[in-house]
Formats: sequence, C-alpha cells, structure tokens
Amino acid sequence: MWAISFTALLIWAGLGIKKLHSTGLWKDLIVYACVWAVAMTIITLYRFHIPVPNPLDGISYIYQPLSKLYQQLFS
Amino acid sequence: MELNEKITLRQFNLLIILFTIGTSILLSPASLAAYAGNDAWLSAILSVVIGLVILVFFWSVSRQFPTSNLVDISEQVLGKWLGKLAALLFACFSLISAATVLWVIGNFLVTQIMPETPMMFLHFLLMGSVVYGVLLGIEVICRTVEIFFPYIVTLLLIIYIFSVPSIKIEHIQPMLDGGFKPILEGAIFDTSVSLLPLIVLFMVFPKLVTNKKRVLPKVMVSYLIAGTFIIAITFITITVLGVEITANQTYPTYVVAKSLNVEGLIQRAEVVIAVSWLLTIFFKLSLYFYASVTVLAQVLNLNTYRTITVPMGMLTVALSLIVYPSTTYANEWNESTWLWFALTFGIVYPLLLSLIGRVLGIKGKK
Amino acid sequence: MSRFSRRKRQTPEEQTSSKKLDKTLQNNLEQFKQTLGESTDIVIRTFKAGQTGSIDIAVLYTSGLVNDTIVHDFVLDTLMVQIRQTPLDTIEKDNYQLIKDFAMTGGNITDIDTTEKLFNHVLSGDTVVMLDGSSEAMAIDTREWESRSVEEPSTQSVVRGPKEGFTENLRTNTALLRRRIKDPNLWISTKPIGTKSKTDVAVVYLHGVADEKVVKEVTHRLNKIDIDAILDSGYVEELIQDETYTPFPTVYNSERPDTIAGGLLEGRIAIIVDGSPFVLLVPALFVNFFQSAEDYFQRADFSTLIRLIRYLAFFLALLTPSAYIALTTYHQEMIPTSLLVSLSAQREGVPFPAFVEALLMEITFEILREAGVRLPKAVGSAISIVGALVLGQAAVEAGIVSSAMVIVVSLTAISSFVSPSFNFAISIRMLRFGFMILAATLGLFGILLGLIILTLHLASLRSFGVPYLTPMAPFIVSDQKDAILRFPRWKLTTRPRLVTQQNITREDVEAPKPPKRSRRKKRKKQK
Repeated sequence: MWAISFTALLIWAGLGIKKLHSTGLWKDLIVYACVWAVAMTIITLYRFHIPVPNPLDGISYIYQPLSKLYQQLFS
Repeated sequence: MELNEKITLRQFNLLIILFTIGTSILLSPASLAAYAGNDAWLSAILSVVIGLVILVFFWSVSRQFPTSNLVDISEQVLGKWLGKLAALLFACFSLISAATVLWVIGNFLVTQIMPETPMMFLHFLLMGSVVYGVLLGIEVICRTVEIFFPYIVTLLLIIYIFSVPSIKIEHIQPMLDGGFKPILEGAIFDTSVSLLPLIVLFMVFPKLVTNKKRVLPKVMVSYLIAGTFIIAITFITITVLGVEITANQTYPTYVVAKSLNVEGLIQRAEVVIAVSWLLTIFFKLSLYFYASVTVLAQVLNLNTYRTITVPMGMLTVALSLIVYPSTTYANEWNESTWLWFALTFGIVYPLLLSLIGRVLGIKGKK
Repeated sequence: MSRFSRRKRQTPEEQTSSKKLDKTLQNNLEQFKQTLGESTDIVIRTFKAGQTGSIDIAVLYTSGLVNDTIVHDFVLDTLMVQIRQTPLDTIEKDNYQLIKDFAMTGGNITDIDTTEKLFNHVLSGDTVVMLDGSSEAMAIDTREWESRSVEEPSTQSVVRGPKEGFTENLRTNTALLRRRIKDPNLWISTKPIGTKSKTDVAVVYLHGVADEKVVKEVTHRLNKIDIDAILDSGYVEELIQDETYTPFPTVYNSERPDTIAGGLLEGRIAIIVDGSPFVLLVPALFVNFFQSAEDYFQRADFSTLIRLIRYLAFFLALLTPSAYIALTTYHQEMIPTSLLVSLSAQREGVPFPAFVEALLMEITFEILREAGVRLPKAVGSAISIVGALVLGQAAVEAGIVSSAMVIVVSLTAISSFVSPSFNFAISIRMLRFGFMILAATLGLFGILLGLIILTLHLASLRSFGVPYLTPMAPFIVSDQKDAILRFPRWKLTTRPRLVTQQNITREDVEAPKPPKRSRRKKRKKQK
C-alpha cells in the first residue's frame, strides 16, 4: 500500500514537472520541484520512523527567554 | 503575481467569524478552565474585550495601506530584500499554523471518531479537499462559506439551546476566588489562539474586498458574534461538566454534546458538534493555507500561485505529521511558545510596518 | 490538443458556393440534377409560356416540404393559365421582372443568383421559378410540412396551468412565445447552424430586460459552433455550456412555453432549435432546477412547501444509501438500540457488507429504470412486475438483501424522481455512487468531506457569467423571495439581480386588501 501510494505521488509530481517544463516557467518549475522534494523526504522519513527535526523545537528555542519571563510573571 | 479575485465585505465578515470560532470552539474551554478555574467564562469575556482593542489596531493598519497586501507593504516599507524576507517568514508562520490546524483535525478524528484509520490517510484526504478549494480560488471558498455558514450556526445553536437545562450554576461559584491574575493569563492565552491569527485575514485579504464602507463597525460586530459563541461555549461546558472535567478533557465541547439527553428526543448529539466544528476548521485551514501559498508565490514573483498549490499541500501534510509528536507536546508548546510566535507576527510585525510606514509617509500602492 | 484539432472540411457545397447561375435554363437544370444525384423527392416541372410558347420556365420544389395547394394555385396556375394571354415573348421587357412584379401572387419572394442559395431554398421548402435567359431565379415561400400539433408536454406536466407544449417546428414555437409576450421588445434573431443540416437556431430575449453582455456572449458562443449537423437542442447545449466536466447542467431546458416566457420576463435568454421541442434557457442557476411552472400558478404558501419538499428529496436521493452504509458500518452507536437490534436481525443471513448490498440494489434499480424508459409501452408492464419482484419481497426472502435496504433503495428512487427537471435528477444519481464509496471507506466523515467538495465544485460553476449558486452564494437578499421560498405574487416585485442587472423593477402592486369597513357602512347608509 505504501509503495503504491509513494509511486503514485512520484508520478503525480513527474506529470506536474513535465507540464511546467513544457510551458517554460523555469522559476515555477524550480520552486515546484523543491517543495515536492522536501515534502516527499519528510513523509518518507516519517514513514520509516526516522526522527525528523521538528521546526517547532527551533521556534521554542528562539522564544525561550521570553516564555520563561512570562511564566515567572504569572507564577 | 496579480490576483483578480474579489470578495465582498459580507463574505469577509463571515470569514472572520469562522476563523475566530475555528479551533477555539472545541479547544478553548479546556485551556481556559485550566488557567482560570471556575472563572473561565470571565476570562473568555476579558479575552473578547482585549481582542476588540487588537482588532481596531488591525483595522487601522489595513486602512493605512488600503490597496496593498502584506507582501506589497513589506517590500515598500522595509525595502525589497528585507521585505521579501519578512514576508517569507510570514508565509512560514501561516504554513506552520496550517500544519498545526491539520494535526488538530486529524488528532480529533483519530481519537474520537475513527480510531482504526491511519492519521496520514486522513490528512491526505483533508488536505486534498483544501487544495481543491484553494485551486478553485478564494471567491469559490467564500461562496462555500456563505452556503455552509447558516448550517454551522444552526448546529451550534442546537447544542447551546439543548444544553441549557443541564446547566448547574453552582459549578461557577464562588466567583473570583482565585484572584484576577489567572483570569488575565487565560484571557491572554485565548486571545493568542483565537484573535491574533486574524492578522492573516487583515494582511492578505483587504486588497480583495470590494466595498469598503463602514468597515470597522461591521468587522467589530462579526468579531463580537464569534466572541459570543466562544464565551457561551465556555460558560456551558463549565456549568454542565464542572471545572475539573472540563480542564482534563481535550475536547470538552464534544463531551457536553455527548451527554445531552433531552426527553429521549435529542441523543447522541456529538455528531452535530463534530460536523459544525469540522466545517469551521476546514475553512480556517483553507484560509491559512491560501495565505501561505499566495504570499510565497508573490514573494517569489511566480506567474500564478496555482502551480505550487499541490506541492505546498503535500508539504503541509508532511509538516502536520511531525509538528506535534503528542497531545502533551502540543499543549506545552501552545502554552509556552505559541503566544510569542503569534505576538511576533500578529502585533510586532504589523506595528513595525505601520510605524515605519507613517514615518516614511508610505500609503501603499496606488 | 493538436491531435484533436479539427481540420477544415471541404464539402461539395463549399466548392460550388461561389458559382453564379447560368443564363441558359438547360445548363442550370442539368447541374441541379447532377448535384442532387437525381434525388426522387425533387420535383422539376418545365413548361413553356408566352403566346407563341417560346419562353422556357422551370418550377423546382421538394415534395413533402411544400404546401401543394399553394404551389398549384399560386405558382403553377399563375404561370401556366393566368398569364397565358400576356404577350411575354413579343414585348421588349425583362420577363423575369415582369413576372415577379405583376404576376406572382406568393407572399414572400426572394431573388437568388447563386447555386448555393438555389439549393438552400429548394431544400428548405421554397418553390423556385427559373426562366430561360435570366441569371436570376425567384424563390417563393411555400414551406409547409407534416408536423406534430401543439400537444400537452410529456416531460413537465402540471396539475394546474397551461397544457400547451412546444413542437418540433421553430415557427410554431416562436408563435407560442409571441402569444404570451406581445411586446415589441421581444426580439428574435435566427441563424442557420451546421454545415450540412443548416438548422435554424433562434435566440429570443426581451430587449432592455436581458443583460446585453449575456446576449452578446450567447451569440458569440453560437457563432463559434462549427459542426456538421444540429439534430437537437442537446447539441447546442453541449457546445455552449460553460463547463463540460461537471455532473450539473448549466443550461436549463423546458418543453413548456409558460416556463420559457417566465424566464424571458426574468431577463433570461431562450435558444430555440428547429426540430426540437426542448427550448434552452440561459443563464440557468441551481435554484432554477427546483422550480416548476406550477409554483407560480398555485398559492404561495403551498408552492413554498412543495419547494421545500423538493430540496428535502434532493438530499434524500443523494445521501440516503450512503448514510445507511455509514451508520450500519461505522457508527452503530448512533442508531437507537431497538432499531439496531432489528436491523442486525435482518442482516443476519445477508452474505454481503452493507456497501455491496446497497451497490447491488442501486445498480439493479438503475438498470430497471433504463429498461422502463426505452421499452415499447406494451412490454413496460412486464418490466414493472419483474422489477417489483427483484426489488421487493423476493430479494429479501432469497437472503440477498435485507428488507431495510429495500426501503432505502425505494426511498432513494422515489426521491430522485421528485426533481422537476430530468437532467438534474441524473446528476444526483451519478453523485450518489460517489457518496456511497466515501461512506463505505470513511463513514460520516467521508460524507461530510464529499459534501464540502461538492459545494466547492458547485460554487465554482458559472452559467454565462452568473455564479451557479446565486442567490445563496453570493447571498442576495432581494432574490430570496423566489429561490427556496416563493413569496406571494405582489411581493415578487424585482427581477433576479445578477441575471438582468438592469430594469430590475418588475411591477408595482399592493397587497390585495378587503375594502375598509367604514366604507361599507357608508355604502349601506347610501342604500
């Protein structure tokens, strides 16, 4: 089931790239391919239970000083 | 990228209502009860009052640049590259919000309705319909909102009216026993969840709205309607279930609907709340996703946002799978970081744009 | 795309189109016969006129397409008997002009000078008179052929209201509309479409009420049609509709002159195709397919109720089988316990899951329905007996389906016939199977997802520029009077806003009230 869906998604992406290639929109094509690649990588890694860095952890790290301050204010 | 689509002020107001109700109708009571105990409903009222002030601020910013959307404003005010970078960060903000909202729907479905179905499958299906809607355009989404809005309101009202008999006022007594601090804390949290994301609407959509007469009163009325829904549901969940149960449940509203039993006629009403909630959150997800896709396409100067909609949908699914490893993580993150994340893009960013714009005397694209 | 693009056709007509008529009669007739392959329905009558009989005249017509009496009394009789004594061959004048100006008694005479026009006129029922020595010929309108008389329409019957229906004849149809709207602003423009069939297609609209932009769009789309033949208005509908890949019709059709006249008065545009009793009406909106002509002939409250029932039937026809599947497969806890017990008792001996069971019965019903439509009337009753057995007690007793499923399928079937327009009911039938699959895989959530996607699709549709879901989305308050509800006649004072965009006000009537009591008293006193 997983293999079928993965192949279907790849074919879908391929069709989209082919269509964009024929229209000659190079910038669109690059963005399209990159976003697909990132998405497929994350989904594949998730499927095989390989830990993926969570963007929310990064955001938490940035805001850590502020949130600690806030918690002290209300405790 | 040029958008030739137009929406009416009425449709914009409906979007505000659904966007505000969105996730809050099911999640707010629990967090409010956890913060403010039996004064959670006071906390909800305070949150709506704070929200109104912020709403006026949003309105003043969007009136300052009447013919521009977020990307236009950023590029004019901050310069081309810095503006693009800021807008890109904003696109990331809406994309991550979209992913979290998608996770919330998926989690609700898997834990409450369909325990056997794999979560990824549900995410794909939901995102598929959202991508379909966004591909058809914002006009079509707005018309769909107009069709569904009466049903959503009716379904919610059914729950409200029929849970009135089971209300026990003693659940909220004594009032203000914990002091004012927890109420304020809960209100701030609730504002960050239900109101600050509205910046997405105010930054991306005003350019599309056609008739801009007497905007502020109409927008405030629609926000008040949405606020009333949230206050009412908080009041009802706490008075029906009690503070303890409300705070411990992930979806207290759903539990209230489950417990409804009016003379044997109305039973099993949780499907009603599930349907109306799924509809509102579907539109919330669509708007977040639309915002992120259009902003990204405009920043990158693409021909049309439609080419990248499908892969962006896939990316949202991928992100939704990894953003929240568990419900506990979700709660913790929302309580500690979300407030600041939302404040950055909901208050600081527009305030910065507005101030610099005023100093430089920029009034938006003609 | 290039693979399917049409190559420009070279038809025999096009090759001969520019050819002028010859001066000698003999040559013209030779060519005429040759081109038509000596077809037997073409009548060519040659005779001589003038005192000495030196002028050759030929009369051409297609038998069956002309009124024989007119041809004999006004053409042949005139030429052969009444001008017998006129010295045509001795006076030095243009004989052709003389005959045309002084002798010919036909009402509508056209000059023709090319072979293309000659064929057009002869083959559409005109009688053509050709003189030797003249490069022009005259075509006299003698068209009349056997056609159905105005009968009661068979598709959209009403209990109360006019019982006239359109026929296959274009002129009868325009006359039926003229008789209802005797206004100089009712404009009718006709043009032939189809390189071979040359079918007359008429665009009818109320000038000053219909939106000029829509009229232009309709004519533009009709002009773009490049096809060999139009055999029914269905061809035109398919060639001018906004969206092909949708189960929903975006062009309305009706056999009823009163419906079409009502549409014209609302500012819509009618397209009449010769040879089809089904007249098209654009723009067509979602709500139009739930309105019947009778709604306006019955009392307002009654009509509103009937309309609400139609919407209910729409949802029943769409969702009953899928809801049954979802409830019995995924959400048993939502069924009341006593019902659940009896349902599971019924399903005890049924070997299939609910989805297969429903699919089986729905497909059987669709086959039966199709068979019933196409069969000769005499066999029809046999089908209904067999159908009653298959979809009824026998199927349940054989243990193939449960009796609850029979109820579900019958309810769906009846509901799908409530819709006043047949082509809309078909779309519901198609979508029903999609919803059944969604319900079988995802339960109620699948149905909800399907409804969202369906609504998104409906909201994206447009019919000649007007959003399909008007007046619900975009919401227009003034149009709610005649959408789901039907307000009393004296309140229907405006035309649909997005359809016409001009001349909105329709009438200015006050609510009928009984005379005031005080006046009555006065009258009594006077007496």
